[in-house]
Amino acid sequence: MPIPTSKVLFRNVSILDSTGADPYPGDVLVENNRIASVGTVDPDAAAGARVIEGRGRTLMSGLCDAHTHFSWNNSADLDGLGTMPVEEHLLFCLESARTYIDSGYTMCLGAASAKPRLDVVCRDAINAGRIPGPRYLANGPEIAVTGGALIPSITKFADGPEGMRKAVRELIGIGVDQIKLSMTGEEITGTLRAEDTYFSDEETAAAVAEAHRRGKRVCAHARSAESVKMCVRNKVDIIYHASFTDAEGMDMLEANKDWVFVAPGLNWLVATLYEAESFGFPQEAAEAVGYKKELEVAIEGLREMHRRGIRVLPGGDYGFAWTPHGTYARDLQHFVELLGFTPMEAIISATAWGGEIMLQPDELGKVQPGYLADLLLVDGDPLADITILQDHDRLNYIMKDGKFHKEPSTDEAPAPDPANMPSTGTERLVQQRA
Amino acid sequence: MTLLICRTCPRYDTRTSGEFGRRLTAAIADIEPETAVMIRNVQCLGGCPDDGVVAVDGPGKARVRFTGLTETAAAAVLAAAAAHHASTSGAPAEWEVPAELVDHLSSVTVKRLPRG
Repeated sequence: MPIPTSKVLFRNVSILDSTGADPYPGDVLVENNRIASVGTVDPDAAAGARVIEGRGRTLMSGLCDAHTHFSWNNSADLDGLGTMPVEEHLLFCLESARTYIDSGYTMCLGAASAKPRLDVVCRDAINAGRIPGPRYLANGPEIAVTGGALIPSITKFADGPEGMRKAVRELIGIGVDQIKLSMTGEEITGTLRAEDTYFSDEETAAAVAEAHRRGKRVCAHARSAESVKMCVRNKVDIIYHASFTDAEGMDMLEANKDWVFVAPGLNWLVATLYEAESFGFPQEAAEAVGYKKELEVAIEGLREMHRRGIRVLPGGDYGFAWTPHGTYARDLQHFVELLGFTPMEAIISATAWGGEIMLQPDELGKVQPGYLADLLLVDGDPLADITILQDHDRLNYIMKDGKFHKEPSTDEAPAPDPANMPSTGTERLVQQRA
Repeated sequence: MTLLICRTCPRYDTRTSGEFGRRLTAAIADIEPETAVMIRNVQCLGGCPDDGVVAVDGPGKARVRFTGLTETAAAAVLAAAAAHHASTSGAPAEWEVPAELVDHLSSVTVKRLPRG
């Protein structure tokens, strides 16, 4: 006996498909967990579908955060990431996963876990349908060399090429999807400078070779100019921050833009510089340790990367007290206002490029036939005002894998009867085009 | 003009989390502002220790945050949003922060652009 097809028809929506095309009116049919048709929907195909009346609202792909830490626990200091007992920490991670999808994020790439298996366990629980959350690629603790850990209590230490290989093997053994290298300092530590590089070329090469041999990618905390070049030379797949990229590094990134991703985590710099005083880190202190300079240099470099077509993705380091979970879409505002992205470019970087960084470019991040049905129905036009995506009330419907995570009950309409279809967006579209 | 209202204040009190945003939004709805205001109910504005947080923001303008508010400040918040909107840079030096809010100003986030 065939399994009945589950169908959802979004009717009369403004389709923002993440191909770069302007939004256009139409209908979108979801069958089971995939998008079946977009724009014009055959009434027979839509027969029996659950109908969501779009009333012109925007239907777009779910968003991607390319630098996710489920286990960053909204602490007001770095050490707070390491002192939470594992039981409470797991609960926090489960809440983070839910907050991400509540915020319209259906794709997240783990950028390090504060304890070895937190990310892995959350990913598995999400995939098993036991807890709500985004599609997730899990990480383990970040690897640092002796003397180079930003937060020693959550770090996996390794030294030398052999040490790197062993650390990578151990992390792969617990089930991570990618490896994190913590290659440079971070000014808030007070001792480890962002422009200093602690990894050697040999260590980086060994870690990457071992990860790639096992089919795993590598990401890196890399703020310094030297670390960015070291990442590109050694094929680190995802470069986080890249604040101090110099001219040579910029050329290297451009020459390798077909495979490398940059995710700057821009909101960390903005909020740490201007908004952390309530938690004991006033602007004067942030400027004194270098965050003002870093933000200025980073913005300049990231704008240049954007001009050169290097893929720069939003997302980053949310989960401190002044960059709390749930505020992720602020990154898109930064991309528009600080980096010179158009709203369309910012959305493509958070959706279509999100599908690419999640390694599913042909089935995630676009509203296209055949793509997985990860969709947002947004009350408003994010191209007119990108800040709409920060307002969870505007995210009227959130769907992942064809199932609603969020669904108000006010937009239901009777299932379409092919013999007596009401005037739909599809019909009007066809009439307009005729 | 854009007004950001925290939807989780007081964030770490699960029994009352969100009450501030609901009360302020209701109070604002009772006022008819002279200029249309776009309210964004955002998850958090990072001023949690002094809960009751809003911010005024706009494209290319400084985001100015106020903390420790209650719904009784609704009119002053709207006045701040309008004054911010009318200014060029959004920096408080350029507009008059309502007296009721002066002591509640807790951060000014400049939209820093490339040097030169």
